[in-house]
Parts: sequence; structure tokens; C-alpha cells
Amino acid sequence: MKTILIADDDHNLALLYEQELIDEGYKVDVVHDARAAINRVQNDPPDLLVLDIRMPGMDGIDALNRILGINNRLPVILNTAYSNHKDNYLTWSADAYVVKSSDLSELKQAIRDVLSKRAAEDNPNG
Amino acid sequence: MTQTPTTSVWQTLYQVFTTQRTQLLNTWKKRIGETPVLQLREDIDAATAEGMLETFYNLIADQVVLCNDYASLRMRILAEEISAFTPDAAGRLLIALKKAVIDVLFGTEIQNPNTEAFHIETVMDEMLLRILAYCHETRYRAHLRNLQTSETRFRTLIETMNEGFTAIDANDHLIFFNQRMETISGFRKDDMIGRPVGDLYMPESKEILSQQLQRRRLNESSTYQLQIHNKQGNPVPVRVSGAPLHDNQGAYLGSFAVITDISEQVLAEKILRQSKDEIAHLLESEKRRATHFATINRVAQMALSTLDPDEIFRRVVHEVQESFGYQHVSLYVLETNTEQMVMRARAGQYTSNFPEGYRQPVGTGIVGNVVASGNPLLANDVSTDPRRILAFPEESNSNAELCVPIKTGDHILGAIDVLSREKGVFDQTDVHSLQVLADQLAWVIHNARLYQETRELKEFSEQVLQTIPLPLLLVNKDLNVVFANTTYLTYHDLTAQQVLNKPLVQSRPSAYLVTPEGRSVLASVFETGQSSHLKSISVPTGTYRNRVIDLLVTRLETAQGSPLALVVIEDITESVERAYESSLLRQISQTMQGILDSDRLLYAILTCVTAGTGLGFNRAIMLQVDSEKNILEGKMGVGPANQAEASRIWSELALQNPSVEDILVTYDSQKTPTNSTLSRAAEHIHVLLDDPDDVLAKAVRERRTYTVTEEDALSISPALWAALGTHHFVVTPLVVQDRAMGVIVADNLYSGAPITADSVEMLRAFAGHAALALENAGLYRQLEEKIAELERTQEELVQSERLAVIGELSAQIAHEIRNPLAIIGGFARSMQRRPDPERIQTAARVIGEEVGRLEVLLTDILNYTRPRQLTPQPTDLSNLIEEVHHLIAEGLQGRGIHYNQQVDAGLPLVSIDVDQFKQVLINLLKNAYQAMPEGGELAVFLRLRPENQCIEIEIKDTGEGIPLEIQGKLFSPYFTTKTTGTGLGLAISKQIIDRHGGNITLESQKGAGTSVFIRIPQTGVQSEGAPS
Repeated sequence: MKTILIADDDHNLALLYEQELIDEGYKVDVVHDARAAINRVQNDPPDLLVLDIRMPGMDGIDALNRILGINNRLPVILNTAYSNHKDNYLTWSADAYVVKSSDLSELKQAIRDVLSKRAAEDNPNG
Repeated sequence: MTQTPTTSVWQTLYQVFTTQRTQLLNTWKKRIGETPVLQLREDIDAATAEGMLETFYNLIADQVVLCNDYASLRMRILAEEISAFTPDAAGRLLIALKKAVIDVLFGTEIQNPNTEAFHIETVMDEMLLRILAYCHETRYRAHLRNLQTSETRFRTLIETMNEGFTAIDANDHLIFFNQRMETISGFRKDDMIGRPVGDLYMPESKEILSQQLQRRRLNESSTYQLQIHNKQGNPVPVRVSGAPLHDNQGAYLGSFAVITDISEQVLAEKILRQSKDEIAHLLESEKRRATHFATINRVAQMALSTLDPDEIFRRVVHEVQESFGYQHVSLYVLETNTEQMVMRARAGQYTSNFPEGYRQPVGTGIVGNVVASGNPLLANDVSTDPRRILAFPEESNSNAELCVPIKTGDHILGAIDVLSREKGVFDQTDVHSLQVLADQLAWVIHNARLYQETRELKEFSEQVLQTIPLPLLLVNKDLNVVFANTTYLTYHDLTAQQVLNKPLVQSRPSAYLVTPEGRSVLASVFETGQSSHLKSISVPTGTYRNRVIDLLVTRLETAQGSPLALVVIEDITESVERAYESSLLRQISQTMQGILDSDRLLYAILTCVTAGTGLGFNRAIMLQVDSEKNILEGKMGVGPANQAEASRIWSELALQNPSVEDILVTYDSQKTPTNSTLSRAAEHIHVLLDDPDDVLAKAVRERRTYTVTEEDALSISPALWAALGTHHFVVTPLVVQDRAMGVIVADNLYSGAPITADSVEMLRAFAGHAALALENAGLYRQLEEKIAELERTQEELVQSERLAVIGELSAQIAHEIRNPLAIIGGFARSMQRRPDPERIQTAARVIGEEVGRLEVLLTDILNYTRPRQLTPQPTDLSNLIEEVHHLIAEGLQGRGIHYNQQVDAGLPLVSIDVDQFKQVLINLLKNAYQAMPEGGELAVFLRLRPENQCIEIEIKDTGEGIPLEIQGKLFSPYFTTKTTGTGLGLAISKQIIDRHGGNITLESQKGAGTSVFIRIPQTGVQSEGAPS
């Protein structure tokens, strides 16, 4: 079972993601700020990180670059309310960029794609 | 299959919306999606976007009416309530819609909610937000563009204006220095910025400068003169118009000044003064000469009665020769200047031998000795007398000679000489009788000499008197003209026959001497013999222009005994006019600087052209160049409407040389000073500047003065002809720095006086000065307009900043709105997929929370962008604070916070909007206790600040304090340190306090706490006895 870490300061949104992703068959962990996400990646890396950008304290773009500094193999999906962050080249190092929506199918599809791509890379003969 | 009504409603809605959505989205894509975003935002105006919004809601409303259930009814009511689909209304509708959706979804009859409903909702939200964002961003960009354009224009104006422009800061250091200032001073801007402004001026100007700078600090504007110390070290005279700059609180920021180089003006004034002095000097010396001639004439007049003495001499010598029977008698007269004796008459045998005018030096011969000694000489045997000379050979036939002097007292005038052929014929009787005769002759000669002298003098003086450039007149006591010189006759356009020996009353009825004052002066001169000098008398001339004269009246004694009066007339009209003109010009270039009202200035200029003895034209019209339209436009005319009015004005203004102030007082006292017949006619004149024939256009193009006559009739536009009604006028351009800004047209229709080269030249010179004044006034006006425009733009900026906030909002709001939307929608789907009770419970709670979040957000935005009207009323602040304390008391409980309140006694009421003020106080108090999570002291102070005429509220906490670096941003919208909230609380509070005319400030120390100060101006209402 793949573990997905949700980093979002919005508790209700995190709750929604948790419910939905559990339904999809993932193990889901939730943190509410960027520092907690970094700690978690350092100590107990998940299989994939869904990272919000606007968070109090450190923002997601900053966190993304630190996380990739710690573990550049970790798949990260940036998940934000505002599509203009795509213009910021710092976001390009994420594996996917998904704009928040009540329809979670895009996010779910992105998670599947990123995970299978990573699996293919890790196991080129599989 | 039975469907619940609700389901059918949503299906209907869905069908409608999918159709409409497709249509709308297509339109939207066409207008938005396929166009580059930036260009689109420039193109779409707010109205279009709002129109689309309205259409969108009309569609909803129409469709909803068809549905007949609870939710749709609610929506219909809402839709009908909203008369205009403003963003405000749209927002409310959005919320209502969402509530309806949720009500329907979680009502008991819901079993199988249609998921498409959420699509509709999402689409609606998205479109709404995009439309809102476009609306605001479009407006914001338009404002920003306007602002930039206007600021650029303003800067260009200041940089390139013809006047110097400087600005200084509160420490009197230069902070602005335009191009023109570089020209005037020779210094470069970069070298001057930052230097004390005193460095720019001559040391002797510094005292004035420091006084003036003091006045700026007292918020006074003024105009004064200084001398710039230019780069070459020379003084440059300038006129400085300074004005202070203050910030909103009245603190002195510095000042700016418009600086005009007046060195040319100063030079011109100096030359004008000099030439005026020269003319005055010339006139003075001419007057002395005239007085001198008058005296000469007086002598001549006294000798007029004397008979011709030569005739007497001739008779005398003949009588002596015949009666005494002498051989020869001759009479000599001493010519004093040559010391010679001239024989004036002779009789006897040698008559043919003596040449005409025979002369003999004093001391030579018998006669010479007699004249030299003054004693008679008798020589009865003259052949032996050693003193004898023989003037001619025949004289040797005479043997006796008697000669007696002709003298009065000791004054020897000549001699009578008698010759005889026989020796010893003369005795003492002869000597005595001849001496008696000689004594009688003495007076004749005396008179004759005087006669001669005076005749010569008279001829000389008459010639001079005739040609002297001063008009002279001799009158007797009855005011009959005895003499008038050529200048006098020319001056009054008279002939000698019209004047000489005629009463002055008859030939010159308007002469000053004929008036009662003139007669009394004459009478006094005749009586006392004292000369009378009358200065600056105004005399009507029968033509339009009065003359100004000085009169010298002197009594002349005559031989006949009846004295005459010599009247020397000095026409000082020109110099008076010049002095007036020069003072007027000075006034125009000085006083008029202050005239910002262009109509006033035009009126003043045109009145100068026509008033009193100034330039003395009858009428004047001003036309100004409109370079955008490339035409010359009539602006104003000054002058009488017809002959009758002209005559009336002239009689009233017999001699009035009004000052500019007088003219302006007249202007200000009239109701419609510029609404004269001539003005109205002038305003119809429009001339194309490139009209090849029109004389006005030519005057502008060639910057030349034209004197127009009938021959130029074809070059006069019909409108000008209609206004003037004459072909005789002069047109002169108003030239400033090689640019004609207009023309002055002037004529003499009513007086019919010819337009002389002199008056044209004066008008031309005057126009130069007038143009400068106009230009300056124009620049001042432009400057004022630009400042006003800048103020307007600043206001717009404030407005656009508010809109800019909305623009930024589209980024921030996306976050604030999308999250709740995603959560609401997400949970809804989640429930839909797995509607187990526990999940629905969680979802319902979360959706409720998120909708609440959206509502708070929307309320904040609307409060900030569309502030409510203030409804101020006199309020007792201490009551209000008490009330607010009660409202937040619940929030304070259990937080370990000690609340304290201190109110000064006798506080006046203040005029405030109670509801909005309450909101501010609640907001600030909440911030304060939220800053103390561990508890602390919360204190509210209410103080009177009489020194600032305001009331101060301090809200003080002992919380964590605010870091210095973010203190400045606290009052900006969307700034927050909290992870929840919109960041609008303090911004809205500031907005409300600002609108009350007050201010809000903050002092904070990290770790020690924060104080917020609100200051509200006193309204002057006292709390005692006032209704609360």
C-alpha cells in the first residue's frame, strides 16, 4: 500500500483528501504546515507528497525545494488554488501541478500517473 | 417512475444551464479565450463585462420562475429584489444560491442529488469570479494609464516651461531645478540639487530670501524680486513667485517657486527712465530759452514807439549849417563796440567828399579828442592845432573848427563838428549854443541807439520766437491776441489771420485762458507782475485726445504802457503719456502677474490700449491663437458701441490715466464687464491661421504689425468687418519668444484721428509687454490647472488603489474562495458516492463551515470596496466604549485578561457614525485580546487633546507586540499575521477613521505590547446639556 502525505493548512480540505484517497486504496497521512512536511520526509518518507503552496510560515514552493534537497526521488504533486504559480519556474521541479477543485479526479489521476511513472523508472524491466 | 419535484427542478436547471453555459462559454471563449489575455483586458470595458453578468443572472432568474418549489422561489425573490446586478448583488445571489443548493441537498426529501447541480454551481462561481476580476482589473488599468499620462504631462510642463521652477525641502535645500533654471543661472541641475537655496542668490539678496522663506513657513505665498548669482558670478535680476507646500497635517514640507528672468525688463525700464529724463531736461532748457526771449521781446516792445533818429540827425545838421552859415557840419555817433565814431549826418561844402558812413577812431583828430575827453574843443586857427588830422585834402581849406560832445551825463554818445573857412570866427556863444543842441541830440541818439538795438533784437527774437518749437502767445488784458508764433498756429491748426488782433474767445473758444480759471490767472499776472507757472493742465482739443500742457504766463511791459501777457505753452502730453505708458507697462508686467483670471487680464490690457491718454485708441479687440484648431479666435473687445457712447465716455474721462488697479476695480464692479457689443462681435471672429490673405493671420505668421487702410479691404474677414465697421485699424501681434500668441486690433473709428506711426509703435511695444503678461498668466493658470489635475489624479489614484486591491484580490481571493469551493464540492461528491450517515454528518458540518467562511470573506470585501455612507451624529464616546466592552465581554472571559477603562472628565460630544465606529472598536479590542493568548492587561483610555482639538482613544494591550518591519503594512488591505481572516479588519478600520476626518496610528514594542491611537476632531458640541 502506497503512503501519500498531504501537506495543507486547510484542515477541512485535508480531511476531504484523506477520505477520498483512503477510498482509492492509499494510506494517507496529513500535516498542516511545510516544516512538518519536511520533518516527515526526512524521518519517514512517504511514497508521494501532495503539497499546498499557500501555507503560513514557509510556503510550499520553498518547502518543495528543501524537500528535493533532502530526497530528490520523492514524487511531489503541487496542489494549489491559484494556477498562476505555474509561472514560477521553482514549481517546475514538481512532478505535477494540480489546481484545487471539488472534482478530485484530476488529482487522483495525477497521483496514479506519477506513481506508475516512478514505478517504471525504478523497475525498468517490470 | 416518479421523480421528486426537487430532482425535476435541478434537471430543468441543469438543462437550461448546460445550454446557456455552452453559449456563454462560447461567447466568452471568443472574446477572452482566443485573444491574448493582456490585450483582452485592455479591450473589454467594464460595462461589457457587467452586461454579461447581468445577462447571466437574468437567465437564472427567468428559468427559476418556471420552477415551483421552495428553493426556486427563494431564488426568484432574491432575483427580484436585486434591481441592479452589481458585483455586490451578484455576491449576495451567489451565497443565496449556494444556500439553496445545500438546503435542497440536505433536506429530508433528498435521496439522489444530481451531481450536475454542482457543476452548475462551480461554473457559476468561476464565471462570476472571472467577470469580477476582469471588471476591476480593466477599470484599474484605465485609471493607471490616465494617471501615468497626466503625471508625464505635468512633469514635461514643469521641465520645459519658459519660467524657472525650483522646489526646496523643509531645510531650504533645492530638490527641484528645471531646464529653464539652468539657462537663467548657468548652473547645472545636478550641481544644484541638494544645495542650500541661498547659494543661488547674490549675498545682498539673502536677507530678503530668508524673510521670504520664513513667510513660506507661515503658509504664505508671495512674489518678490531677487538677484540670482549666476555661474559667471554676475547678478541676474529675477522675479520669484513662491508658494509653500504642506502635507495633510499642515506640516511644512518645503516650497516651490516660479522664477522669471526680468533682466531685460529691468534694462528696458532703465532705458525708459533715462530717455524720460532726457526729454525732461530738454524741455527744461527750452523753457529757459523761452523766458529769455520773452525778456528780449519786452525790451523790443518798449522801443517800438521811438522815431527814426537818422531823420532827426539829418534835419539837425542841415538846420545848424544853414542857420549858423557854417562851411560844414557833421554829426558823429559813437559805436561803442568798435570804439569808432560813425558819421551819421552831414551838411555843407564837403558833403560830396565825405564818404557814406565815414568812420574815425576815438582819440584821433579833433572829433576823436572831443569824444575821448567829453569836453568841447574850439580851434579858431586849426591849421596850428597838433590834434588836427586831414581826413581828406579839401579839408585844408577850413581854418577854424568847433566840436562839442553829445552826451548824457558822463555818457558820451557822439559829437557835432563845425568847420569854417575863416580863422577866429567862433566864440563862446557858438560853443554854448552848439552844446545845447548837442544835449538835445543826446537823447535822440540814446533813443536811436536803443531803437537800433531793439530793432535788431526784435528781428532776432521774432525770428526765434517764430521758429522756437514752443507755442507762444501774446495777449493783452482784453484777451486779444497780439502775437502768436508759427508753432502756436501749427499746433492749433490755425492761420495768423484767424488769430491775430482778434479776441482769443472768438478764435480759440476752448483755450484754457478763456476759462474762468485761466482768466483769473491772467488777471493775477497782470496785476502783480508775478509770473505764473501752471502745470499739467488738461485741455480738450476738439478731437478725441486731450492734451496735457504746462503754461508759463509772464507780464510784459510795453512802451505804450498797457502791459501784455506772454503765454508759453509747453505740451507735455507726450511725456505724460510716456510716463503713464511706462508706469502702465511696469504695472502690467508686475501687477498682472497676479491676475490669473484670463478675462480680467484681457480686459486690463485692452483698457490700457483705449483708456485716457494711454495709447489712446478708441477701441481694441484681442484675438488669441488656438494652435490645436489652427485658428485665431476673437476673445474680447473693449470700446464704446457707438458715437454717442464714445462722446459720453470722453467727456467723463477728460483726463483719467487709470492705473491697472483702477481698471481692475472697474472690471470687478461691473456685472458683465466683458459682455459689450464689441466683445460679442469680437467673439464671432475666427480666422484660419493659414489663410494666405487675411491680415490678422498674416500678422501672426509674420509676427508683424500692419496698419490697414481701404486698400487692404480684401484682406479683412467679414466677421472682423462686422465687428469694426472700418477699414482703418492697426493689428499688432502678441509675441513671446518668437511665437505669436494672438493679436491686438485697435482703431480710431469714433474720433476719426489718424493712426500715426508713433501710436502704432507704442501699441507694438505695449503688445510685447502685454504678451509677456498674458504668457505668464497663462503659465500660472496652466500650472494651477495641472496642480488641480494632479489633485484630481491623486484622488483617482486613491480610488484606483482601491480597485487595484480588487485586482490583486483576483489572485488572493482565488485561494480564499477556491479552497472552500473545493471542500464543499469535494464533500458533496464524496457523500454522493458513499452516502453513509457518518460521512454525510461530517460533510454537512464541513460544508456549513466553509459557506460561513465564504460569507465572511464576501462581507469584508464589500465593506472595503464599497464603504457605507457615514451617518454621523453627536455621540458620547464614553458610552460607546462602555457598550463595546459589553459586546466583547464574553470573548474576554476565561482568557486571563484584566480589562481597565479610563475616561477624562468633561469630554465634548463628537460627530461620528455610531455603527461603523462600533465596528472599529470591536475589531481593535478583539485584535488586542487575541494578541494576548497567555492573558494580560487590556486598557482603553479616552482623552481630550485640546492642543490638537481632538479626542484620543488609546487601546493598549500587554501582548506579544508587533515587529517593527511589519508595522508599516498593518493598515494595508489583505495584510494579516493570522492564518485565518481576510486581513481587511485594520484596513477597514483605517478607512472608517479616515472618513471621519481622524487618524489611526500604532505604537508597539516587541514583547511589551501594542497601543493603537484613534484621534477624532472635536465637533465643538459640549456634552453638558446636550441630548445624548
